Amino acid sequence: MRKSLIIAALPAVLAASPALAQSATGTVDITGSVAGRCMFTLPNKTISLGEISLASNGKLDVSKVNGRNETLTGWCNNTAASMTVTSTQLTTPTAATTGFDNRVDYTATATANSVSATDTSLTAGAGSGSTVGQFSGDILVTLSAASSPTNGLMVAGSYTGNVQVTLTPST
Amino acid sequence: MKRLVSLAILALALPAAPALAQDSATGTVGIDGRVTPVCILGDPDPALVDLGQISESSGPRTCKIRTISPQVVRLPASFCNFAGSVVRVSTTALTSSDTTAPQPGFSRAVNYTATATNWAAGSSAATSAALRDGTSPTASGLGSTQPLPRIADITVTLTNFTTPGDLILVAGNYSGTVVVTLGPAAVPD
Amino acid sequence: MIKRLTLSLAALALALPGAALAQQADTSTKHVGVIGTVPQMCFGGTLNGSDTFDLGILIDTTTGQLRSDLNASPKILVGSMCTSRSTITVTATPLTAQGFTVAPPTGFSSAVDYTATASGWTATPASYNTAAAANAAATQGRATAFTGDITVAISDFATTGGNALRLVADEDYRGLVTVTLAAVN
Repeated sequence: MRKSLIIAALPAVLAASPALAQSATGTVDITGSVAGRCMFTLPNKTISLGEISLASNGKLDVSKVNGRNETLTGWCNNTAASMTVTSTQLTTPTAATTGFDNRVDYTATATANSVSATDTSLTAGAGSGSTVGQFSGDILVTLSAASSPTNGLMVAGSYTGNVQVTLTPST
Repeated sequence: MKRLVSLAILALALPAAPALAQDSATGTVGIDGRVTPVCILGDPDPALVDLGQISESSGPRTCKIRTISPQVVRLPASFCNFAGSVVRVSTTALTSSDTTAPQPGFSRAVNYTATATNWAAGSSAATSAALRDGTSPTASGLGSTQPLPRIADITVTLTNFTTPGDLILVAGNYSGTVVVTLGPAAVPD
Repeated sequence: MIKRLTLSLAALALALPGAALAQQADTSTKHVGVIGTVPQMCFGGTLNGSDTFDLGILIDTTTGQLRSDLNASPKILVGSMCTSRSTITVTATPLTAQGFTVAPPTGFSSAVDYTATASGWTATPASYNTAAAANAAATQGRATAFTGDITVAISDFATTGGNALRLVADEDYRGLVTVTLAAVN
């Protein structure tokens, strides 16, 4: 019995028998893409201010806040990357009675790739964004303009707040 | 002879072209600080209460304690920055600088009451109960607890100046002290 | 990029007032001094009864000479006091005829001497004799404050010039006893 061996063949290009003939070129296009991305390689740091009231009168010692800084590290891979800062005030749970404050506001400035973005904790939400562009390296976060609402006596207790730096690949 | 040259080319599986990613990344710098519990009393005004002559010069009460009007001392802008503070008052009787035991019918001690107000509900008070020879001169009293941080002018009023047994006062210079302490309500004696 | 150093611990230590002292930062203590004075003072007391020793008739009417039984009840100064150590001094003036002021004729006298004493204040009573040239015992001292009654008495009556003399007639022979309490520094 004759067997037929059927070979299912994928579409193939049959090379012409090597007779004298003109050459033909086929092209395979290869495409790929790299998404715009930002990433923090060192995403968390803590600034410990210690005692933030003045021994002489119990009011906020702004020198304990202003100038304090920490450095995150990260990168963005596209030129349109932007950076925003969101500052959250320092607070302690105990209520502040007349003559007292239980809150510390400040301005945080993030600097990366020689570009800065700021935000004050006095207003909720993020500050205006800055185009940080393509970079990889340090993001220096510095505190300034510390204040208390009434410049009153500071309520005793532990105070916490934070600065969030957001890197966005494209605007 | 024909030769089939099969060139099998696999269809490459190409991933779908990705949409442009909007992945923001957020880094956080936490901030912590503290404010130490503190109480500070304002400096007393006056720091020294001078009663002048404390005995009568004439009349039926000659040489006995005269009627002395209430004396007021302010401790302005006293504050505690934490909840749960209390004022303690300690009163030490006026006694003569001459420490010899007084003769029968005489006293070398003058008792009085010191009352601190305007910190918590009510007041903190102490009345000295010295004997005529000046022993047991000091008494203390605590007030109620202030439940909130507070800044206020504390007033200390001295009243009720009396002599043990209403006896005749020995001549001399008399001195006593009122000690005001502001601190946590759980402070031990 | 140069990283800044964070604050050192030394700055934190400065923020804690008196951490090494006994008083905690959460407790504050203030002292208020109270002073006064009691002057050195004496009060002579309140005379119990009349302020006059009434001797009545001074002479024995059969002889015209001074009676030998003259006496008067003592006077009490009640509630005398001195707030410090003190002296008590008694002085007296002879009983002298107030109307007959000229020199009495020979054989007569117009004055009577006596001794005044103040007792109860000091261990040794203060005493003063109106005829004595000097009265060292007239002032006595007390080293402590004191309150008590002073008894003032008169005694030892004698006619000035001698008991043989007769007293001139006068309705009013008068003398004065003075008791003084003085505070001593």
